[in-house]
Parts: sequence; structure tokens; C-alpha cells
Amino acid sequence: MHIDTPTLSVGRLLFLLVGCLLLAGPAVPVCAQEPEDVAIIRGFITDRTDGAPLPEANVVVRDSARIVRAGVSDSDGFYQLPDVPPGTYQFSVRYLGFETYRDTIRFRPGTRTLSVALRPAPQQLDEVTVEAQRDAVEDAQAGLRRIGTADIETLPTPGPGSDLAMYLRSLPSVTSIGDRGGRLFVRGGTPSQNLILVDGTPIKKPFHIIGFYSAFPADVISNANFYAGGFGARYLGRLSSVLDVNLRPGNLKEYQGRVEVGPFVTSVQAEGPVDYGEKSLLVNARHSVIEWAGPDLLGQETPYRFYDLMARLHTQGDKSQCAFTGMRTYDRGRIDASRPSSYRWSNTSVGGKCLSFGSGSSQRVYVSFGTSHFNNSVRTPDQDTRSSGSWDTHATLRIEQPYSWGRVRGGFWGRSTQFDYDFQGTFLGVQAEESFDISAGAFLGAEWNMGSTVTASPSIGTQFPIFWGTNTIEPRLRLAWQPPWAARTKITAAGGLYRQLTDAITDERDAGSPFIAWLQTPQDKALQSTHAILGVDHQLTPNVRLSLEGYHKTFRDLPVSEWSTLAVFNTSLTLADGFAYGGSASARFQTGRLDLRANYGFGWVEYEAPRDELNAWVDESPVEYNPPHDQRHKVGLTASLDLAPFSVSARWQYSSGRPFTQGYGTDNFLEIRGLRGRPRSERGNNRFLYDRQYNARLPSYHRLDVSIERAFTLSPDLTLTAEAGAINAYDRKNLFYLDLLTRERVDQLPIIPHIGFTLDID
Amino acid sequence: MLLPMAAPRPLPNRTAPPADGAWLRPCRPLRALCLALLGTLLLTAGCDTSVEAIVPSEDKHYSMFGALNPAQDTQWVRVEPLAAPTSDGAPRTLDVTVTLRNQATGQSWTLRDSLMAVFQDELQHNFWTTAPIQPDTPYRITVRNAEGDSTWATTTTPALPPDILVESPLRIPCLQTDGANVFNVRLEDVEEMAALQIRYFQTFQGFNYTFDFDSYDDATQVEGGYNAEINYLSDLETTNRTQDRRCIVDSAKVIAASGGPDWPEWAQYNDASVSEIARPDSFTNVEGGHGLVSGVYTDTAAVRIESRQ
Repeated sequence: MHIDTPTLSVGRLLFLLVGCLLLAGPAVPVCAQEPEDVAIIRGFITDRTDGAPLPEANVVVRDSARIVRAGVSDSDGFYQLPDVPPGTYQFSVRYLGFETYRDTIRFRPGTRTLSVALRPAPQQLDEVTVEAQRDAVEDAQAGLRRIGTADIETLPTPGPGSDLAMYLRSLPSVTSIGDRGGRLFVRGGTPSQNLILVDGTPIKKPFHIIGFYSAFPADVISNANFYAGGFGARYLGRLSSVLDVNLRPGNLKEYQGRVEVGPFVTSVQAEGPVDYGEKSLLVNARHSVIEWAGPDLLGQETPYRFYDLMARLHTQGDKSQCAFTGMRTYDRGRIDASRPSSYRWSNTSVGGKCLSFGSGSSQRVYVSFGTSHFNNSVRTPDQDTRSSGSWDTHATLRIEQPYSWGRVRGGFWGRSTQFDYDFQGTFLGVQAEESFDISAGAFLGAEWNMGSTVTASPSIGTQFPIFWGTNTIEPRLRLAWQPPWAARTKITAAGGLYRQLTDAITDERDAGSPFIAWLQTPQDKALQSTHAILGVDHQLTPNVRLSLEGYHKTFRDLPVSEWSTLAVFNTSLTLADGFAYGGSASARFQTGRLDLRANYGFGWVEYEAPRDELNAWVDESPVEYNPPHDQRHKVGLTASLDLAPFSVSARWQYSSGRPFTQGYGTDNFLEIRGLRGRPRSERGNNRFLYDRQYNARLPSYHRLDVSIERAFTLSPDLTLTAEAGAINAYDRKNLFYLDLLTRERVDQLPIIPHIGFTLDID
Repeated sequence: MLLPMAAPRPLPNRTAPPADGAWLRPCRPLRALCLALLGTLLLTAGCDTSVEAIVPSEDKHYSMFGALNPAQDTQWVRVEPLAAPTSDGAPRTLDVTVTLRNQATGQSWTLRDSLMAVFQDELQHNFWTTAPIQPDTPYRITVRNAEGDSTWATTTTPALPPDILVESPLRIPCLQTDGANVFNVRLEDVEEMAALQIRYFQTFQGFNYTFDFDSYDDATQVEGGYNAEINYLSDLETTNRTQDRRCIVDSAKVIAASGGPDWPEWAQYNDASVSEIARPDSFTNVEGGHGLVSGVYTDTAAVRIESRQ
């Protein structure tokens, strides 16, 4: 493995420090002393009607003059207020759409658990929303987008229902190749550099072959955090981005069901208490129908089939909360209906996570464990099959210790990964291989409130692949500053060093190919990236919020395909360095009835590699080029309007063309060496002749999606929601990909009118 | 729409929410942005969506692959138009004239086109002629179309075929011992070896079969020629008609070819992958296009078959 610094000793020190944190408590007073003269208040904030945790609820302790302590519940609904001076205070919990909980409580020294179940309030949407928006910049963080179900539901989707995939593709930081294949590029990174977690368990490729859908329909999500970069050392192992999805628990108190029918998918959902108020089960199953509906609806073949199945058991105790999640996704189809290459992929994952805290300690402990299997394959027109799979098993222990100045967090994880791939037929490079890796890691971080305006969150992580015999060291820092003279403005920054021990091969030249082969990094060199992000959020008026963010990333030792004229899957890799920079600007205008969003993203991605190692035939060395995900401009406009009883939404998106390799000819290469290629008996190798790779750009892309929705109350227990709309409303012929050999273009989906129904059963 | 609240912060000048019907008013500060985005929409809505995978070269028109061999009565050359899609086969019509010219005598022949399905139903234009090819003679083969674009290759045939010495017999049945199933071949009077192949003849279950194996990579250059050690067990095992590693073979022969004086110095390419020699800047003697048309001279020699005692 490539080592730059004497990392081993630092890594050992980090393991020791994290161990110290984990053991902290009465037994190890040196590491963390519990304050004995103050109160620590913690608990869960839940919805009284169904017991669901409420993330980001405001919890405030105040006396008659001022706020003494305030905090926000996390994604599990858990909050903790440390260092509260003993005394009698007003204790309040607020959450949008719920009645505010208020009580006068006397807090004694020590730790106290105080969980609150909020009661839904009659909605006064305009007023509440305005109040909420005024303070919204407080949760701004560099590179982070907090995604709630409501955010996803404002986008028109060929539902019924909405999906996280559609929302992610609308973000200015995300580049997608097209509406098929399920590959997302984030700020210069590639899909294999994205970490996707479902309730703490990594999953490789949860996006469906039709890009509107993923394994995450909006109505099974509690919340998701999407880091487009700059994430802390808690997330190790990927270079580019993190999507941390928390699924919602099933209803702890009532049985509910939902049936959705539409031209693309149908779904069934059921939930209810297993043990009233303490355990619940949520099951969601969704299956595509576009394969059957497409020919009638679109007048063309739509060979796409997918399904996803999710079951989640949730337990809620006084001092603990656990979730056990199983998920299965399957996709099969042909990206280009006119050609016989058939792709399929599947994910199967099972995992669990628990949060708990003891009576006498202020620490909270998170445990997660699970296993996930990914497999994908492609069958080519020549009936050759390429397949690749991976099997990950992980266990993570994380602990948080609050202090008066902030908190310290740390953790360990262990992971085993098995890769295998097998390429039949024509290919370049390796053909078949299996490998097995075991790695361990640790991180230590702090959140330090420096006065009332600055928060610094330094963290450091290490990864230790057992068979490599050495480790990485990854320091990171996140900063937030709310200037005292500009209460509606928040300036945030993030950066650090990122390493990745595994990567994936994909055919860069074939943008339409979703096939991906996971493997160890070439030459046992860990991929490396540095991130630097600076952002400003400003609440211009109570209704208008502006955000501006710039980033710069560097990359080192990225595996890229060598240049080749032969039209075969290319697994001959070399290492490239590179950089990416850009920024995004977004504006949001929001009232109770109207929500308008506009965003613009700019990006520049450039790789460079020595000419000879790249096997390139240009004069310069190193060779600099823009890879195929170098999308420069992206514009998104979204509007949703509540015109009771209807709600209307529309989204227009534009993106500039991505690089592709434009050639000057094709032929079939006959190998005269050894007289192996004989004109009368050999076809030769398909050859695409070009001067340099990625020397031209595809046409730009834009599309308008619209939808309208109305709910009908059929009975007190039955609600029917009808939804109609159109994808690609003005039928723009957006290029999906261009087959360079046959020169056939494959367009993205044409105008698709859709209608769908959702039946909710309470 | 439900939005979570962040921690409360008292703010001065609390603004009342806008009344119904007034929701457009706050858009005024964003008017410029709205107009700019609307303009972008209108501008791009009519953009051209066409894209070309190929922009034909002005100076490279055709690819040509083949060999001129004095030992053969018919010469074959594959011709493909670079500008036309060829991955699923060549276009059915190829309006070109292909000529072969003896540069020493000035004599010319026009090659005839043949549309062959060499792989599944993919068609290829293989041009052929029965013109007598002389040893040690320069030839030029030219492809010209009606527009006047031309592609040509010039090559000189070898003076002599290789002198093939099969230095040891092929012994059957094969043995399990490593190294026991080889025979040695020596090529003399060869400056550049163009090809080395072994052809096996089998009778299996009453049917006759012929298998060719490429042994080009088995040869090493030595003073005055090439030596090759042929492992016939590894060849015959792949035929799937050899039972219990007993090596069924009726007869065998060595086919070797010398390259002409302009034969590429493949030594520098011998370790190169097909991808590397298929680079557009790899060796070519084709002007105005890509490919390779070389002069070679083949000969054959029988391999003696012996039974083991």
C-alpha cells in the first residue's frame, strides 16, 4: 500500500483514544468526568399518534429571562441537553405541525430522562412556516443537505408517490447520466465513491434502472442526510459523498395500509404495532409495471423490470431505540430497447442499529451491524456474460459524550468484504478474480461550541486493512460561524482528507452501461481526495432563503481505463490524479401555499495521467482530460402550489452536455502479427478510431415535469389520492447515450403522461 | 408542507405572513433571477439535439488488411471505409476500385470484390486477385473511390520462404510427464518471422478434423533464424477430441512465413497487447488510412509422428 506519512503510530494512538472514550465513565474518570453539580436532560421526542421519532424538534430550557439551554433532536428523535444548572425552568418542545409541549420542571443534579410525545396541532400553515423559515439557516452546514419527506414530495414524479432518487437528481451537486441506469456523480466523484447507508448498513446500488426510482420511496423515509463532500471522519471509506438514509418506523399504535397504482409502479405498504407502543413493523413492497404498460402508453418497448422490498422492525424503549431492517432490490432490463445487451443487478441487505443510554451516565451508545450483498451482470449481444458481486459484513460501535462546551464522539468498526468478478468474451485486462478483505477503522471527533457564534467539529479517522499491514490517517474539520451582527446569515466550511480502499471498474466510454465491477484498488494504492467547501446561507426575508457554496477537491490515484481503440470492456487500469471545483447557488421562496426553488450548479472536473501509463497517443504528457461526468452547468426550477383541494407541482431542469469521445472512423482490426487475422475467416476486433478521448460534448439536456394531485376522503378510514402529470412535458429529445460504433443514439424517455392512485387505509 | 424547525432564535421586526393573493409580491427581489432563468428556458428549448459520433477525417479514408504471398495463388485484402459504421459488418455496397501494381514492372491488376459473411451475418468486403506474386518484388495496392480519395500501401515480398526444420518427432501417446510432449522446430534463412502455425489432422469417431494452432509466441529469435518448442499436448487438449490425454493425431505439419524487408520489427511489439498494436499510431504501411498490407512468404513442413515404445 502507498504510504505517505508514518501513519501507523498515529493510527494506534487514535485507536487508544477511541478506546478510552468507549470505556469512559465511572471506571475511567481520567477520560471523561461526569459533572456532578449539573443536570443532564435527555430523552426521545415522538409523535403521540403513532409513536414515530421526531427529528430536529426544538428542545428548550429557559428561565424567566433567557434561554438556558437549547438543543435539537437527532434523526432518532433523541435529544440531550448537558450542563443544565440545577433549578426550576420552563421546559418546552416544539415541532412544526404539533402542539408545543410546555412544562415547569425542577432539575436536580444528575442525569434525567425526559421523553415527550407531541400532539399534532391544527395546522396554521402560513404562520408556522414563516416562523420556521426565519431560523432555518441555523442548521446549515457546508456540503450537507438535510432531506425530509416533505422536500421529496414537492417534486413531480411519475408516481404515485415520490422517491428520493428524483430529489437527489434535482440537486445542483449531482450529475446523472440519464433517466436509466441509476448512476449518480457527485461533485467530480464517481458512483463507486459514494457511500450509501440504510439505517447504518452500506448498500451498493439502491437506484433502479428507471432513474426516477430507488429503494427509498418517500413514504418509508424518516430523513436523509446527503453530504456532497466535507463529511466528518464518522464516515470513512469513500471519497466523494455520503447518503445516510434513516427509514421511518412503523406505526406503534395503529394499523395502517397503503396501496398505490400507477403506470410505472405499484406498491403495497402495511404497518402497525407488534407490541403496542413499543414495537412496530413496517413492510413496503413495490414492483414495476412499466414493462407491461409501456408499449400501450408510449408506443414503444420498455424492457425495464424492478422491485424493492423492505421490512423494518422498530422497538422503542425508555432508554433505547432499535431498528432491524431487511431490504431487497432487483433490476433487470435493456438500456437500449433495440439492442440485446441485458443488465441486471440486485442488493440484499439485513442489518440492525440500536441507540441506548444508561441511567447513571451521560454517554449514549450506538451499535450497528449488518450484511449486504450486491450482484450485477450484463449479457452482451455475443451472449458473453460479465458478472461482478460483493459481500460486505460490518459491525460498528459508536459513542457520544456530552460536555458543557460541546461533545466528543468516537467509534470503532470492523468490516469484511468479498469481491468476485468474471468476464467472459472479449475484454482487456483481468478476466476473473476473487478477493477477500478484512478491515478495521476508528474515528474520534468533537463538536466544540466556541462562544455562541462559532462551532468547530474536528475529527480524525483511520482505516486499517488487515492484509495491507498499514493504515490511513484522515483528519477532517467542519466549521460554522453565525456572525453576531448578521443573525440571518451563517457561514460554514468543511474539508479534510479522504481515502478509499476499494473501487469499481466501469466502462467509462459507454455512459449507458450500468455494469460495475468492484475490486481492490490497483497496485494496492488507496484512492485519495481532499475536500474544501465554503458556504453561506442567508435568510433574505422571512420567505426567501439564499444559499451559496463553493468547493474544491483534489484526487489522487484514481483508477481509470487506459486508452484503447478496441470496443471491448476495458479492465486495463492505470492511476490518474485530478481535481474538481465548482459551486452552487440556490434560492427558495416559500409561503404556506407556494414553494419556489431555483438552483444553479457549476462544476469542472479534470483528470491527468502520464501518457505512457495511460497508453495514449497524443504528444503531451501528462495527458489532461475532462472525464465523461464533467458536467459544467446545471439549472433547476421547481414550483409547488397548494390550490386546495388541488396541489400542483412542476420542475424544469437543464444541464449542459457531458464529454464524449468523437472519432473519425471505425473498422475491424485484423492482427497481421502472426497472420492471425485472415480476411477470409476472421472478423477482427471492432475498432473505434479517435485522436484523443473525450474531445467533444454531447448536446445539452432539459426537461419539464408537471403533476397535479387531489385527495378524496372516502370514509373516515379511507383516503384516495389521485395524481396526474407528465414527464418530459414538451417531449424534448434528450440524448441518453450515443453508440459510438453503430452511431445509433438512444434518447431518454419521451413525454410520458401518467395517472396514479393512492389508497390510504387507517 | 411540513418543515422541521431549528433551534429558536428571537428575531426583531417580526413580519406578518403575506395575505392570500399576495404571494407573488415577495418575488420582486428575485425578478432578475426569474427573468434570467425564464430566458434560459426559452433559449435552450429550441436547441439542436443532434450529435455526431464520427467526424470523418479528410486524409484517412479506408482501412486495408492483408498479405501478399508468392506461395499462394490467390491474394486477399480486406477493405473497409472508415467513415461508415462497421461494427455490424460493412455496408453492402462499396464503390471503390482496388488495384495491385507491380512496382518493378508497372503491371497492374484490378482486384475483385467479394461480399463475405465471415462472422455470423456480418458482411465484409474482401478483395481478391489471382495475379502471380513474385518474390523479392515491390507492390503497391491502392483503394480509390469516385470522389478521388485514395488509400494505398506499398510492400516488398520476401526473397525466400523460411527453411523449416522439424528437429524432433511428435510422439504418441502423450505422457503425463512435463516436457515429454514437445517437438522442436527451427526456421532458417529468416530475418523476420511473420507466422508460425501447427496444423493437426485427427480422425475421431470416424470423422476427420483439422485444427490450426498459432505458435508465433513460442518462437525465439536466434542467430540465423528462429527456434520454437511446440507443446502439442496443450494444443491437442483444447480440441476436446483427445481422450484421456492420449493425444489423438494422424498427422501434423508446420506452416511458417517469412516477412518481407518492410515487415514491421515486431520484436518491439511482441509483448504488446492487441490493444496496444491497434492504436492508430501503431505501425502501418498504409497511407491515407489505417491497416497493414505486408509481403510474406510461406512454406510448410511435415511433422514426423512416432509411436512411443
